[in-house]
Amino acid sequence: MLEQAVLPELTDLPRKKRNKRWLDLGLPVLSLVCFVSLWELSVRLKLFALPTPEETMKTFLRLLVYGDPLYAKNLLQLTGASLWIVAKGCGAAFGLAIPLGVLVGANPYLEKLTHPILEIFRPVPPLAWIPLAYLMFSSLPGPTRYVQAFVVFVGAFFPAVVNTLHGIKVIDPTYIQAAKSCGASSCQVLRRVLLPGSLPSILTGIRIGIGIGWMCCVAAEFVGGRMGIGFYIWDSYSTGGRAPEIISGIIAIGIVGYLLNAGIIWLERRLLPWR
Amino acid sequence: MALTLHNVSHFYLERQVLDHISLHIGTGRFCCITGPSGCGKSTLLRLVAGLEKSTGGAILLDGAPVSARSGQIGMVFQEGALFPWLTARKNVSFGLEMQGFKPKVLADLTEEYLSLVGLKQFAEYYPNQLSGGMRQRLAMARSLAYNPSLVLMDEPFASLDAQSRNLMQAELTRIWRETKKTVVFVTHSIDEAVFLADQIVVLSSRPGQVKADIPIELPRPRLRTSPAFVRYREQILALIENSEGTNEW
Ligand SMILES: Nc1ncnc2c1ncn2[C@@H]1O[C@H](COP(=O)(O)OP(=O)(O)OP(=O)(O)O)[C@@H](O)[C@H]1O
Ligand SMILES: [Mg+2]
Repeated sequence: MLEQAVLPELTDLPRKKRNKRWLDLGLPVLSLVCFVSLWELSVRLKLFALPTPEETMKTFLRLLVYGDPLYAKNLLQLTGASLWIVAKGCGAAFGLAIPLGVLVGANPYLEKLTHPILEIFRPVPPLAWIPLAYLMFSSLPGPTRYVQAFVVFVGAFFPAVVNTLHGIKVIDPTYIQAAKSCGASSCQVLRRVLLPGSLPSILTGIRIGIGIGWMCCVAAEFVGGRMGIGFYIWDSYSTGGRAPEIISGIIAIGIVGYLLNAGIIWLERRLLPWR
Repeated sequence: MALTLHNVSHFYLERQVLDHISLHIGTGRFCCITGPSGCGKSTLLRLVAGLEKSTGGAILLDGAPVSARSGQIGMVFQEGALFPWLTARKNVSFGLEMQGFKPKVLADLTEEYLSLVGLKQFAEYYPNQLSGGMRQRLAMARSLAYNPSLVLMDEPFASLDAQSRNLMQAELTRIWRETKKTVVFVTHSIDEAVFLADQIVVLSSRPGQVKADIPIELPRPRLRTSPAFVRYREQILALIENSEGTNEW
Protein backbone atom coordinates (compact mmCIF):
# COMPACT_ATOMS: atom_id res chain seq x y z
CA MET A 1 0.00 0.00 0.00
CA LEU A 2 2.57 2.49 1.20
CA GLU A 3 4.96 1.69 -1.60
CA GLN A 4 2.29 2.11 -4.19
CA ALA A 5 1.36 5.47 -2.78
CA VAL A 6 4.92 6.71 -2.72
CA LEU A 7 6.27 5.30 -5.96
CA PRO A 8 4.46 7.50 -8.44
CA GLU A 9 5.79 10.56 -6.57
CA LEU A 10 9.23 9.63 -7.77
CA THR A 11 8.22 9.28 -11.39
CA ASP A 12 7.05 12.03 -13.70
CA LEU A 13 3.43 11.79 -12.50
CA PRO A 14 3.49 15.05 -10.51
CA ARG A 15 4.97 16.92 -13.43
CA LYS A 16 2.24 15.64 -15.70
CA LYS A 17 -0.32 16.71 -13.15
CA ARG A 18 1.21 20.16 -12.89
CA ASN A 19 1.25 20.47 -16.67
CA LYS A 20 -2.40 19.55 -16.73
CA ARG A 21 -3.24 22.17 -14.13
CA TRP A 22 -1.45 24.81 -16.20
CA LEU A 23 -3.40 23.75 -19.26
CA ASP A 24 -6.70 23.80 -17.36
CA LEU A 25 -6.03 27.35 -16.30
CA GLY A 26 -4.00 28.55 -19.26
CA LEU A 27 -6.25 27.56 -22.13
CA PRO A 28 -9.32 29.49 -20.92
CA VAL A 29 -7.14 32.56 -20.28
CA LEU A 30 -5.63 32.17 -23.74
CA SER A 31 -9.05 32.06 -25.37
CA LEU A 32 -10.09 35.24 -23.54
CA VAL A 33 -6.87 36.98 -24.57
CA CYS A 34 -7.43 35.99 -28.20
CA PHE A 35 -10.99 37.23 -28.11
CA VAL A 36 -10.05 40.62 -26.65
CA SER A 37 -7.18 40.98 -29.13
CA LEU A 38 -9.47 40.33 -32.08
CA TRP A 39 -11.91 42.84 -30.68
CA GLU A 40 -9.15 45.46 -30.26
CA LEU A 41 -7.91 44.76 -33.78
CA SER A 42 -11.33 45.08 -35.38
CA VAL A 43 -11.88 48.40 -33.64
CA ARG A 44 -8.49 49.75 -34.77
CA LEU A 45 -9.15 48.63 -38.32
CA LYS A 46 -12.54 50.34 -38.03
CA LEU A 47 -14.38 47.18 -39.03
CA PHE A 48 -17.16 47.90 -36.53
CA ALA A 49 -18.16 51.11 -34.81
CA LEU A 50 -17.40 49.69 -31.36
CA PRO A 51 -15.64 51.05 -28.28
CA THR A 52 -12.27 49.51 -27.45
CA PRO A 53 -12.05 46.71 -24.91
CA GLU A 54 -10.31 49.09 -22.52
CA GLU A 55 -13.01 51.71 -22.76
CA THR A 56 -15.68 49.05 -22.27
CA MET A 57 -13.90 47.54 -19.30
CA LYS A 58 -13.74 50.95 -17.63
CA THR A 59 -17.44 51.48 -18.22
CA PHE A 60 -18.18 47.99 -16.93
CA LEU A 61 -16.30 48.56 -13.70
CA ARG A 62 -17.83 52.02 -13.28
CA LEU A 63 -21.30 50.57 -13.77
CA LEU A 64 -20.53 47.77 -11.37
CA VAL A 65 -19.22 50.01 -8.59
CA TYR A 66 -20.90 53.42 -9.02
CA GLY A 67 -23.81 52.53 -11.25
CA ASP A 68 -25.38 54.52 -14.04
CA PRO A 69 -26.41 58.05 -12.96
CA LEU A 70 -29.19 58.09 -15.56
CA TYR A 71 -30.93 55.23 -13.78
CA ALA A 72 -29.41 55.50 -10.31
CA LYS A 73 -28.67 51.77 -10.37
CA ASN A 74 -25.53 49.67 -10.61
CA LEU A 75 -25.08 46.47 -12.58
CA LEU A 76 -25.77 44.27 -9.59
CA GLN A 77 -29.11 45.96 -8.97
CA LEU A 78 -30.05 45.71 -12.62
CA THR A 79 -29.20 42.02 -12.96
CA GLY A 80 -30.67 41.39 -9.51
CA ALA A 81 -34.04 42.74 -10.64
CA SER A 82 -33.96 40.42 -13.66
CA LEU A 83 -32.88 37.48 -11.55
CA TRP A 84 -35.82 38.03 -9.23
CA ILE A 85 -38.17 37.73 -12.19
CA VAL A 86 -36.38 34.57 -13.29
CA ALA A 87 -36.67 33.16 -9.78
CA LYS A 88 -40.41 33.72 -9.74
CA GLY A 89 -41.01 32.39 -13.25
CA CYS A 90 -38.74 29.37 -12.81
CA GLY A 91 -40.08 28.63 -9.35
CA ALA A 92 -43.60 28.42 -10.69
CA ALA A 93 -42.47 26.49 -13.77
CA PHE A 94 -40.53 23.85 -11.83
CA GLY A 95 -43.16 23.61 -9.14
CA LEU A 96 -45.65 22.62 -11.79
CA ALA A 97 -43.45 20.87 -14.36
CA ILE A 98 -41.67 18.40 -12.10
CA PRO A 99 -44.74 16.88 -10.40
CA LEU A 100 -46.52 16.88 -13.76
CA GLY A 101 -43.56 15.21 -15.47
CA VAL A 102 -43.42 12.54 -12.77
CA LEU A 103 -47.14 11.80 -13.03
CA VAL A 104 -47.18 11.78 -16.81
CA GLY A 105 -44.00 9.71 -17.00
CA ALA A 106 -45.39 7.12 -14.58
CA ASN A 107 -48.79 6.82 -16.24
CA PRO A 108 -49.06 5.89 -19.93
CA TYR A 109 -52.67 7.07 -20.12
CA LEU A 110 -51.81 10.50 -18.78
CA GLU A 111 -48.98 10.61 -21.28
CA LYS A 112 -51.30 9.97 -24.21
CA LEU A 113 -53.68 12.54 -22.77
CA THR A 114 -51.12 15.33 -22.41
CA HIS A 115 -48.95 14.50 -25.40
CA PRO A 116 -50.76 16.62 -28.04
CA ILE A 117 -50.92 19.69 -25.80
CA LEU A 118 -47.28 19.47 -24.80
CA GLU A 119 -46.12 18.86 -28.34
CA ILE A 120 -48.13 21.72 -29.84
CA PHE A 121 -47.07 24.36 -27.33
CA ARG A 122 -43.49 23.20 -26.88
CA PRO A 123 -42.18 24.51 -30.23
CA VAL A 124 -43.74 27.97 -29.72
CA PRO A 125 -40.95 30.46 -28.86
CA PRO A 126 -41.71 31.79 -25.35
CA LEU A 127 -41.45 35.38 -26.65
CA ALA A 128 -44.42 34.76 -28.93
CA TRP A 129 -46.53 34.74 -25.77
CA ILE A 130 -45.68 38.35 -24.87
CA PRO A 131 -48.57 40.09 -26.68
CA LEU A 132 -51.12 37.59 -25.41
CA ALA A 133 -49.65 37.77 -21.94
CA TYR A 134 -50.14 41.57 -21.90
CA LEU A 135 -53.78 41.00 -22.76
CA MET A 136 -54.13 38.26 -20.15
CA PHE A 137 -52.67 40.35 -17.34
CA SER A 138 -54.00 43.75 -18.47
CA SER A 139 -56.45 43.99 -15.60
CA LEU A 140 -53.72 43.59 -12.97
CA PRO A 141 -51.76 46.55 -11.59
CA GLY A 142 -48.32 46.62 -13.25
CA PRO A 143 -48.95 43.88 -15.80
CA THR A 144 -45.37 44.00 -17.08
CA ARG A 145 -44.01 42.16 -14.05
CA TYR A 146 -46.49 39.37 -14.61
CA VAL A 147 -45.83 39.23 -18.32
CA GLN A 148 -42.09 38.90 -17.78
CA ALA A 149 -42.48 36.20 -15.15
CA PHE A 150 -44.95 34.43 -17.41
CA VAL A 151 -42.55 34.42 -20.35
CA VAL A 152 -39.83 33.01 -18.09
CA PHE A 153 -42.35 30.45 -16.89
CA VAL A 154 -43.11 29.30 -20.42
CA GLY A 155 -39.43 29.15 -21.31
CA ALA A 156 -38.49 27.11 -18.24
CA PHE A 157 -41.57 24.90 -18.11
CA PHE A 158 -41.08 22.76 -21.22
CA PRO A 159 -37.48 21.69 -20.72
CA ALA A 160 -38.31 20.80 -17.10
CA VAL A 161 -41.41 18.79 -17.93
CA VAL A 162 -39.89 16.99 -20.90
CA ASN A 163 -36.71 16.03 -19.05
CA THR A 164 -38.57 14.87 -15.94
CA LEU A 165 -40.96 12.80 -18.02
CA HIS A 166 -38.12 11.24 -19.95
CA GLY A 167 -36.17 10.58 -16.75
CA ILE A 168 -39.08 8.64 -15.28
CA LYS A 169 -39.72 6.69 -18.46
CA VAL A 170 -36.18 5.44 -18.90
CA ILE A 171 -35.93 4.04 -15.36
CA ASP A 172 -35.24 0.34 -15.70
CA PRO A 173 -38.47 -1.46 -14.71
CA THR A 174 -36.33 -4.02 -12.91
CA TYR A 175 -35.60 -1.37 -10.24
CA ILE A 176 -39.31 -1.01 -9.66
CA GLN A 177 -39.74 -4.78 -9.45
CA ALA A 178 -36.75 -5.02 -7.11
CA ALA A 179 -38.35 -2.45 -4.80
CA LYS A 180 -41.68 -4.23 -4.94
CA SER A 181 -40.08 -7.58 -4.23
CA CYS A 182 -38.66 -6.01 -1.05
CA GLY A 183 -42.22 -5.07 -0.15
CA ALA A 184 -42.37 -1.43 -1.30
CA SER A 185 -45.79 0.20 -1.71
CA SER A 186 -46.57 2.35 -4.76
CA CYS A 187 -45.85 5.43 -2.72
CA GLN A 188 -42.50 4.02 -1.62
CA VAL A 189 -41.68 3.08 -5.21
CA LEU A 190 -42.34 6.71 -6.16
CA ARG A 191 -40.23 8.20 -3.38
CA ARG A 192 -37.44 5.65 -3.27
CA VAL A 193 -37.10 4.60 -6.92
CA LEU A 194 -38.80 6.92 -9.39
CA LEU A 195 -37.63 10.18 -7.81
CA PRO A 196 -33.98 9.31 -7.16
CA GLY A 197 -33.79 7.44 -10.46
CA SER A 198 -35.02 10.42 -12.43
CA LEU A 199 -33.16 13.05 -10.41
CA PRO A 200 -30.32 13.35 -12.96
CA SER A 201 -32.83 14.15 -15.69
CA ILE A 202 -34.81 16.47 -13.43
CA LEU A 203 -31.65 18.44 -12.66
CA THR A 204 -30.79 18.61 -16.35
CA GLY A 205 -34.29 19.97 -16.96
CA ILE A 206 -33.79 22.55 -14.24
CA ARG A 207 -30.44 23.59 -15.66
CA ILE A 208 -31.77 24.00 -19.20
CA GLY A 209 -34.94 25.65 -17.87
CA ILE A 210 -33.05 28.26 -15.88
CA GLY A 211 -30.81 28.98 -18.87
CA ILE A 212 -33.77 29.52 -21.17
CA GLY A 213 -35.65 31.41 -18.47
CA TRP A 214 -32.76 33.83 -18.12
CA MET A 215 -32.65 34.46 -21.88
CA CYS A 216 -36.41 34.93 -22.01
CA CYS A 217 -36.34 37.39 -19.15
CA VAL A 218 -33.78 39.63 -20.85
CA ALA A 219 -35.74 39.53 -24.07
CA ALA A 220 -39.05 40.24 -22.33
CA GLU A 221 -37.50 43.27 -20.66
CA PHE A 222 -36.81 44.76 -24.09
CA VAL A 223 -40.52 45.04 -24.70
CA GLY A 224 -41.77 46.78 -21.62
CA GLY A 225 -41.10 47.83 -18.08
CA ARG A 226 -38.46 50.01 -16.50
CA MET A 227 -36.37 47.49 -14.63
CA GLY A 228 -33.79 44.84 -15.24
CA ILE A 229 -30.71 44.31 -17.34
CA GLY A 230 -32.63 43.74 -20.57
CA PHE A 231 -34.42 47.04 -20.16
CA TYR A 232 -31.10 48.71 -19.42
CA ILE A 233 -29.50 47.48 -22.64
CA TRP A 234 -32.46 48.43 -24.76
CA ASP A 235 -32.79 51.84 -23.16
CA SER A 236 -29.06 52.51 -23.51
CA TYR A 237 -29.53 51.91 -27.19
CA SER A 238 -32.67 54.07 -27.52
CA THR A 239 -31.18 57.00 -25.63
CA GLY A 240 -28.34 57.37 -28.06
CA GLY A 241 -26.40 54.21 -28.76
CA ARG A 242 -24.30 54.05 -25.64
CA ALA A 243 -22.20 51.15 -26.89
CA PRO A 244 -19.93 50.68 -23.83
CA GLU A 245 -23.01 50.45 -21.59
CA ILE A 246 -24.69 48.01 -23.95
CA ILE A 247 -21.65 45.75 -24.10
CA SER A 248 -21.26 45.93 -20.31
CA GLY A 249 -24.85 44.79 -20.01
CA ILE A 250 -24.21 41.91 -22.40
CA ILE A 251 -21.16 40.87 -20.42
CA ALA A 252 -23.18 40.97 -17.20
CA ILE A 253 -25.87 38.79 -18.77
CA GLY A 254 -23.25 36.32 -19.93
CA ILE A 255 -21.56 36.15 -16.53
CA VAL A 256 -24.86 35.64 -14.71
CA GLY A 257 -25.89 32.92 -17.16
CA TYR A 258 -22.56 31.21 -16.70
CA LEU A 259 -22.83 31.38 -12.91
CA LEU A 260 -26.38 30.00 -12.93
CA ASN A 261 -25.27 27.05 -15.02
CA ALA A 262 -22.18 26.46 -12.90
CA GLY A 263 -24.33 26.61 -9.78
CA ILE A 264 -26.62 23.86 -11.00
CA ILE A 265 -23.68 21.74 -12.11
CA TRP A 266 -22.25 22.12 -8.61
CA LEU A 267 -25.60 21.09 -7.19
CA GLU A 268 -25.71 18.07 -9.52
CA ARG A 269 -22.36 16.92 -8.18
CA ARG A 270 -23.57 17.27 -4.62
CA LEU A 271 -26.90 15.55 -5.19
CA LEU A 272 -25.67 12.79 -7.49
CA PRO A 273 -22.53 11.40 -5.85
CA TRP A 274 -23.22 8.05 -7.50
CA ARG A 275 -22.84 9.42 -10.99
CA MET B 1 -41.49 -22.28 3.78
CA ALA B 2 -42.86 -24.72 1.22
CA LEU B 3 -43.72 -23.53 -2.28
CA THR B 4 -46.39 -25.23 -4.34
CA LEU B 5 -47.27 -24.43 -7.94
CA HIS B 6 -50.45 -25.97 -9.20
CA ASN B 7 -51.13 -25.92 -12.96
CA VAL B 8 -49.63 -22.45 -13.38
CA SER B 9 -50.06 -21.06 -16.89
CA HIS B 10 -49.13 -17.63 -18.16
CA PHE B 11 -49.83 -15.68 -21.31
CA TYR B 12 -48.31 -12.48 -22.64
CA LEU B 13 -51.10 -11.24 -24.88
CA GLU B 14 -51.85 -14.17 -27.16
CA ARG B 15 -48.62 -15.99 -26.54
CA GLN B 16 -48.44 -18.73 -23.97
CA VAL B 17 -45.19 -18.59 -22.02
CA LEU B 18 -45.89 -21.14 -19.28
CA ASP B 19 -48.09 -24.21 -19.61
CA HIS B 20 -49.53 -26.00 -16.58
CA ILE B 21 -46.47 -25.87 -14.37
CA SER B 22 -46.88 -27.99 -11.25
CA LEU B 23 -44.11 -28.16 -8.67
CA HIS B 24 -43.55 -28.72 -5.01
CA ILE B 25 -40.51 -27.42 -3.20
CA GLY B 26 -40.28 -28.40 0.44
CA THR B 27 -39.26 -26.12 3.30
CA GLY B 28 -35.53 -25.41 3.40
CA ARG B 29 -34.92 -27.12 0.08
CA PHE B 30 -32.69 -25.80 -2.69
CA CYS B 31 -34.35 -26.10 -6.11
CA CYS B 32 -32.60 -25.27 -9.38
CA ILE B 33 -34.63 -24.50 -12.48
CA THR B 34 -33.04 -24.83 -15.87
CA GLY B 35 -34.26 -24.69 -19.44
CA PRO B 36 -33.64 -23.06 -22.82
CA SER B 37 -33.41 -19.30 -23.15
CA GLY B 38 -36.87 -17.74 -23.38
CA CYS B 39 -38.72 -20.72 -21.90
CA GLY B 40 -40.16 -18.58 -19.13
CA LYS B 41 -37.84 -19.07 -16.14
CA SER B 42 -37.70 -15.38 -15.24
CA THR B 43 -41.43 -15.10 -15.80
CA LEU B 44 -42.00 -18.00 -13.42
CA LEU B 45 -39.94 -16.28 -10.72
CA ARG B 46 -41.85 -13.00 -11.18
CA LEU B 47 -45.09 -14.91 -10.75
CA VAL B 48 -43.86 -16.63 -7.61
CA ALA B 49 -42.64 -13.28 -6.24
CA GLY B 50 -46.10 -11.84 -6.77
CA LEU B 51 -44.79 -9.17 -9.14
CA GLU B 52 -47.15 -10.36 -11.87
CA LYS B 53 -50.33 -12.34 -11.64
CA SER B 54 -50.46 -15.67 -13.44
CA THR B 55 -53.12 -16.15 -16.07
CA GLY B 56 -54.13 -19.44 -14.52
CA GLY B 57 -53.34 -21.85 -11.72
CA ALA B 58 -52.37 -21.36 -8.11
CA ILE B 59 -49.12 -20.42 -6.40
CA LEU B 60 -49.12 -21.20 -2.71
CA LEU B 61 -46.64 -20.49 0.07
CA ASP B 62 -47.36 -22.87 2.93
CA GLY B 63 -50.85 -23.15 1.47
CA ALA B 64 -51.53 -19.38 1.20
CA PRO B 65 -51.49 -17.20 -1.94
CA VAL B 66 -48.39 -15.06 -2.51
CA SER B 67 -48.07 -11.30 -2.15
CA ALA B 68 -45.02 -9.15 -2.87
CA ARG B 69 -45.68 -6.98 0.16
CA SER B 70 -45.49 -9.72 2.74
CA GLY B 71 -41.71 -9.68 3.13
CA GLN B 72 -41.68 -13.47 2.89
CA ILE B 73 -39.91 -13.46 -0.46
CA GLY B 74 -36.50 -12.17 -1.45
CA MET B 75 -35.55 -11.89 -5.11
CA VAL B 76 -32.16 -11.60 -6.78
CA PHE B 77 -32.65 -10.40 -10.33
CA GLN B 78 -30.92 -11.58 -13.48
CA GLU B 79 -29.26 -8.16 -13.86
CA GLY B 80 -28.67 -7.60 -10.15
CA ALA B 81 -30.96 -4.57 -10.13
CA LEU B 82 -29.08 -2.82 -7.34
CA PHE B 83 -30.12 0.79 -6.93
CA PRO B 84 -27.22 2.78 -8.39
CA TRP B 85 -28.12 5.86 -6.33
CA LEU B 86 -27.72 4.04 -3.01
CA THR B 87 -24.49 2.96 -1.33
CA ALA B 88 -23.91 -0.71 -0.61
CA ARG B 89 -25.12 -0.18 2.95
CA LYS B 90 -28.28 1.64 1.84
CA ASN B 91 -29.01 -1.04 -0.73
CA VAL B 92 -28.90 -3.69 1.98
CA SER B 93 -31.08 -1.69 4.36
CA PHE B 94 -33.61 -0.88 1.61
CA GLY B 95 -35.65 -4.04 2.12
CA LEU B 96 -35.50 -3.62 5.90
CA GLU B 97 -36.86 -0.08 5.57
CA MET B 98 -39.66 -1.29 3.30
CA GLN B 99 -40.56 -3.90 5.91
CA GLY B 100 -40.66 -1.22 8.60
CA PHE B 101 -37.86 -2.44 10.86
CA LYS B 102 -36.91 -0.24 13.81
CA PRO B 103 -33.78 1.90 13.17
CA LYS B 104 -31.64 0.09 15.73
CA VAL B 105 -32.49 -3.40 14.47
CA LEU B 106 -32.20 -2.16 10.93
CA ALA B 107 -28.66 -0.88 11.44
CA ASP B 108 -27.56 -4.09 13.16
CA LEU B 109 -29.04 -6.37 10.51
CA THR B 110 -27.52 -4.26 7.73
CA GLU B 111 -24.05 -4.66 9.23
CA GLU B 112 -24.63 -8.35 9.81
CA TYR B 113 -25.56 -9.04 6.19
CA LEU B 114 -22.83 -6.79 4.81
CA SER B 115 -20.28 -8.90 6.65
CA LEU B 116 -22.07 -12.12 5.75
CA VAL B 117 -21.29 -11.40 2.09
CA GLY B 118 -17.87 -9.92 2.93
CA LEU B 119 -18.59 -6.32 1.95
CA LYS B 120 -18.12 -4.57 5.27
CA GLN B 121 -15.20 -2.50 4.02
CA PHE B 122 -17.21 -1.47 0.97
CA ALA B 123 -20.31 -0.27 2.80
CA GLU B 124 -19.99 3.29 1.52
CA TYR B 125 -19.26 2.32 -2.08
CA TYR B 126 -21.84 2.81 -4.81
CA PRO B 127 -22.71 -0.23 -6.96
CA ASN B 128 -20.81 1.13 -9.97
CA GLN B 129 -17.65 1.19 -7.83
CA LEU B 130 -17.92 -2.53 -7.06
CA SER B 131 -16.78 -5.51 -9.12
CA GLY B 132 -19.29 -7.83 -10.77
CA GLY B 133 -18.90 -10.47 -8.07
CA MET B 134 -19.25 -7.91 -5.30
CA ARG B 135 -22.43 -6.59 -6.89
CA GLN B 136 -23.92 -10.08 -6.99
CA ARG B 137 -23.07 -10.63 -3.33
CA LEU B 138 -24.59 -7.26 -2.50
CA ALA B 139 -27.77 -8.17 -4.37
CA MET B 140 -27.88 -11.37 -2.35
CA ALA B 141 -27.44 -9.46 0.90
CA ARG B 142 -30.21 -7.06 -0.04
CA SER B 143 -32.70 -9.86 -0.63
CA LEU B 144 -31.63 -11.86 2.43
CA ALA B 145 -31.39 -9.08 5.01
CA TYR B 146 -35.09 -8.79 5.81
CA ASN B 147 -35.14 -12.52 6.44
CA PRO B 148 -37.54 -13.81 3.79
CA SER B 149 -38.24 -17.50 4.08
CA LEU B 150 -38.22 -18.00 0.31
CA VAL B 151 -35.38 -16.69 -1.86
CA LEU B 152 -35.69 -16.52 -5.66
CA MET B 153 -32.50 -16.13 -7.64
CA ASP B 154 -32.41 -15.53 -11.38
CA GLU B 155 -29.08 -16.59 -12.89
CA PRO B 156 -27.22 -14.57 -10.28
CA PHE B 157 -23.77 -15.83 -11.28
CA ALA B 158 -24.20 -15.84 -15.07
CA SER B 159 -21.89 -12.88 -15.63
CA LEU B 160 -19.05 -14.15 -13.45
CA ASP B 161 -15.87 -15.87 -14.57
CA ALA B 162 -15.59 -19.59 -13.80
CA GLN B 163 -13.41 -19.08 -10.75
CA SER B 164 -15.53 -16.48 -8.95
CA ARG B 165 -18.54 -18.48 -9.94
CA ASN B 166 -17.30 -21.54 -8.07
CA LEU B 167 -16.43 -19.40 -5.09
CA MET B 168 -19.87 -17.83 -5.07
CA GLN B 169 -21.54 -21.22 -5.30
CA ALA B 170 -19.65 -22.39 -2.24
CA GLU B 171 -20.48 -19.12 -0.51
CA LEU B 172 -24.16 -19.43 -1.35
CA THR B 173 -24.25 -23.01 -0.10
CA ARG B 174 -22.77 -21.83 3.18
CA ILE B 175 -25.26 -18.96 3.53
CA TRP B 176 -28.15 -21.24 2.61
CA ARG B 177 -27.15 -23.79 5.24
CA GLU B 178 -26.71 -21.06 7.86
CA THR B 179 -30.02 -19.35 7.16
CA LYS B 180 -32.12 -22.44 6.31
CA LYS B 181 -34.16 -20.78 3.59
CA THR B 182 -36.09 -22.29 0.75
CA VAL B 183 -34.30 -21.33 -2.48
CA VAL B 184 -35.41 -21.33 -6.10
CA PHE B 185 -32.38 -20.76 -8.29
CA VAL B 186 -32.49 -20.35 -12.07
CA THR B 187 -29.37 -21.30 -13.99
CA HIS B 188 -28.21 -22.32 -17.44
CA SER B 189 -25.29 -24.25 -16.05
CA ILE B 190 -25.91 -27.94 -15.39
CA ASP B 191 -22.73 -28.09 -13.37
CA GLU B 192 -23.99 -25.26 -11.16
CA ALA B 193 -27.39 -26.89 -10.77
CA VAL B 194 -25.96 -30.26 -9.70
CA PHE B 195 -23.54 -28.55 -7.33
CA LEU B 196 -26.24 -26.51 -5.57
CA ALA B 197 -29.56 -28.30 -5.81
CA ASP B 198 -31.60 -30.75 -3.79
CA GLN B 199 -33.97 -30.84 -6.72
CA ILE B 200 -33.54 -29.88 -10.37
CA VAL B 201 -36.48 -28.88 -12.51
CA VAL B 202 -35.93 -28.93 -16.27
CA LEU B 203 -38.30 -26.83 -18.35
CA SER B 204 -38.99 -27.27 -22.04
CA SER B 205 -39.62 -24.42 -24.38
CA ARG B 206 -42.57 -22.66 -26.04
CA PRO B 207 -44.61 -22.93 -23.99
CA GLY B 208 -42.59 -23.73 -20.88
CA GLN B 209 -43.56 -27.07 -19.40
CA VAL B 210 -41.99 -29.21 -16.70
CA LYS B 211 -39.94 -31.76 -18.59
CA ALA B 212 -38.31 -33.36 -15.56
CA ASP B 213 -38.18 -32.93 -11.80
CA ILE B 214 -35.15 -34.75 -10.44
CA PRO B 215 -34.11 -35.05 -6.80
CA ILE B 216 -30.35 -34.79 -6.31
CA GLU B 217 -29.18 -37.02 -3.52
CA LEU B 218 -25.55 -36.10 -3.04
CA PRO B 219 -23.85 -35.45 0.28
CA ARG B 220 -22.54 -31.95 0.93
CA PRO B 221 -20.01 -30.48 0.52
CA ARG B 222 -20.10 -31.74 -3.03
CA LEU B 223 -17.19 -32.72 -5.16
CA ARG B 224 -17.54 -31.95 -8.86
CA THR B 225 -15.28 -34.83 -9.80
CA SER B 226 -17.09 -37.53 -7.83
CA PRO B 227 -18.63 -40.28 -10.00
CA ALA B 228 -22.12 -39.65 -8.63
CA PHE B 229 -21.83 -35.94 -9.50
CA VAL B 230 -20.78 -36.75 -13.03
CA ARG B 231 -23.63 -39.25 -13.40
CA TYR B 232 -26.19 -36.62 -12.45
CA ARG B 233 -24.66 -34.18 -14.91
CA GLU B 234 -24.87 -36.67 -17.71
CA GLN B 235 -28.43 -37.62 -16.83
CA ILE B 236 -29.58 -34.02 -17.05
CA LEU B 237 -27.53 -33.25 -20.12
CA ALA B 238 -29.12 -36.23 -21.89
CA LEU B 239 -32.56 -34.98 -20.92
CA ILE B 240 -31.88 -31.61 -22.42
CA GLU B 241 -30.20 -32.84 -25.57
CA ASN B 242 -32.55 -35.57 -26.77
CA SER B 243 -35.56 -33.32 -26.53
CA GLU B 244 -34.39 -29.94 -27.65
CA GLY B 245 -32.28 -31.14 -30.52
CA THR B 246 -31.42 -28.02 -32.42
CA ASN B 247 -32.95 -25.62 -29.94
CA GLU B 248 -30.80 -22.83 -28.62
CA TRP B 249 -29.98 -23.61 -24.99
N1 LIG C 1 -43.13 -8.27 -20.01
C1 LIG C 1 -43.25 -9.11 -21.07
N2 LIG C 1 -44.13 -8.85 -22.06
C2 LIG C 1 -44.25 -9.70 -23.11
N3 LIG C 1 -43.53 -10.80 -23.27
C3 LIG C 1 -42.64 -11.12 -22.33
C4 LIG C 1 -42.44 -10.28 -21.18
N4 LIG C 1 -41.48 -10.85 -20.41
C5 LIG C 1 -41.11 -11.97 -21.05
N5 LIG C 1 -41.79 -12.15 -22.19
C6 LIG C 1 -41.67 -13.28 -23.12
O1 LIG C 1 -41.84 -14.44 -22.37
C7 LIG C 1 -40.92 -15.44 -22.78
C8 LIG C 1 -40.17 -15.94 -21.58
O2 LIG C 1 -39.33 -14.90 -21.08
P1 LIG C 1 -38.42 -15.11 -19.81
O3 LIG C 1 -37.67 -13.85 -19.58
O4 LIG C 1 -39.24 -15.60 -18.69
O5 LIG C 1 -37.44 -16.26 -20.31
P2 LIG C 1 -36.19 -16.91 -19.57
O6 LIG C 1 -36.45 -18.37 -19.52
O7 LIG C 1 -35.93 -16.21 -18.30
O8 LIG C 1 -35.03 -16.63 -20.60
P3 LIG C 1 -33.47 -16.38 -20.30
O9 LIG C 1 -32.88 -17.71 -19.98
O10 LIG C 1 -32.95 -15.87 -21.59
O11 LIG C 1 -33.38 -15.40 -19.18
C9 LIG C 1 -40.04 -14.81 -23.83
O12 LIG C 1 -40.44 -15.29 -25.08
C10 LIG C 1 -40.27 -13.33 -23.70
O13 LIG C 1 -40.24 -12.76 -24.97
MG1 LIG D 1 -34.41 -15.00 -17.60
